[in-house]
Amino acid sequence: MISDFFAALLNPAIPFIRYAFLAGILSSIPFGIIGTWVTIKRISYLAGAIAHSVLAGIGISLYLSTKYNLEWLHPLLGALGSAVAAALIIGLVSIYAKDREDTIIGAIWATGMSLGLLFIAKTPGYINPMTYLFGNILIIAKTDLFILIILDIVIVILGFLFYYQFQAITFDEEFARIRGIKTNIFYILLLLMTAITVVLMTTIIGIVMVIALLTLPAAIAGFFAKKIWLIMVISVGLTAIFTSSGLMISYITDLPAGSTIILISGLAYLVSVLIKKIIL
Amino acid sequence: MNTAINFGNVSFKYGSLPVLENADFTINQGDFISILGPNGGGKTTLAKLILGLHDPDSGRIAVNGKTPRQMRDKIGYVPQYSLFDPNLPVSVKDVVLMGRIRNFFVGYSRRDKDYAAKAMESVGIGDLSTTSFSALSGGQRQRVLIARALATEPEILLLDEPTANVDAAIEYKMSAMLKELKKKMTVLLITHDLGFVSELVDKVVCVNRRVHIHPTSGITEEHIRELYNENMKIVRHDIKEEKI
Repeated sequence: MISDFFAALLNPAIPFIRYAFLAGILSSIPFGIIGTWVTIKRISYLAGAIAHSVLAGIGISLYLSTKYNLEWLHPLLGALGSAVAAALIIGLVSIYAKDREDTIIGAIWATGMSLGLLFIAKTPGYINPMTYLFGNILIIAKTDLFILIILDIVIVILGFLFYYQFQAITFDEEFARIRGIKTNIFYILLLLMTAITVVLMTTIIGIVMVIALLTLPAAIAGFFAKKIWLIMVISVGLTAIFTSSGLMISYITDLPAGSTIILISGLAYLVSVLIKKIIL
Repeated sequence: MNTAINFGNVSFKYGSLPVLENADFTINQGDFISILGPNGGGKTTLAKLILGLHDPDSGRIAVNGKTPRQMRDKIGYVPQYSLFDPNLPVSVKDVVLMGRIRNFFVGYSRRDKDYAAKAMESVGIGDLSTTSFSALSGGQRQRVLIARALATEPEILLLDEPTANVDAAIEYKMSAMLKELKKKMTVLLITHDLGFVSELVDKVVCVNRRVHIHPTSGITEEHIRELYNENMKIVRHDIKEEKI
């Protein structure tokens, strides 16, 4: 049975399973890095809003590309555009109007989805929104992998370059500001990197569930590691394990891949809570 | 004697709520100042004005003759340790090194690490360097934050309620530590506890919307009553068995 999965991975006739597998591995690096910051900075609800707003970009780009034959307008580009816009709005609101933050987050969350659904409904031909909400490995193409590689490189470089600044604003934003650190710029940069990361996995995991894959590995790693870089390394490993084992199980059992991956992550989190409580 | 901090008729409001009115005082370099007042009286606002985190609505503030924003990297700020997320995975060394952070750099240099190590030694936490910040006691966390402030090579040290929630033994250690620091820099200590380090204090800045500055010896019951708006008695720790 497991051998069936490995045979499928190598089978040139069904490239999508290989693409999904590679996409999972490629995404695990930025997911581990950004997921760690999102979890320890406790901004997963911000990441949730960014993830849901992605549907607006997907809907708009599907509509425009079908209606006006803009073939270059890939849904991933639309997703990226709306995620970046949402990150900027949320970032500016949380810096300049902190008291409205939760209202704005709720608004972006829901209006983003509504906008996306409207455009998808008006797009000629039939597009099942379920594909984007809950993920569909069938829609992953070779182009997606190239986009993934570029985004990977961007996130990893920025993540390495600004590790200490992110650490400082997470621990004590005010002190960092007194030291002359451009804390607002770094905060918005972190949100933008979160936006890019969330977009990476929306095709496989789907908009609704992607936030779990961002935070659960880091939360698990945080039980056992007490250094930020170590939590990142462990999260990268866990994300790769969850996505590839989820893909394998979903292939063997013929279940939706995204849900399987998230359920495995959730189960692993539950087990590690128990281990932490009982043994440690 | 050179001026460390000068407030010239400074007023500050949060929205329409006046927090400080016409604060006008001077602190000399090398002074040990206690900033005293009731909760909500404006002590922390005063600190934030000195750090340039707030701008005054009127009046002028000078720190070592420059604006607070220009000078704030010369101020070692020690916030209250209880404000931190205790679950954040950082070690003592990570926190102290934050005193050396810059906008653009590729990791901490040898020199940064030396300064951090020296700062940790000077507050007696050299052996805790790899310990997780969350595993420390309140008093130890407070010392880590002081070390972080010292790692910035400050000319002025500004501590916000360093003895809040710590026991008497730690308070005693803290006062010994501050005695050493007093020799090297200007120290501003925000506190609601006048008894703490009273022997070290040169002047007391009393903050309750209005700001008054007194030499320690000049503090009378009347001042205290005015500050706290209630009938308080001075309990003198240096005189035993006094009949009240």
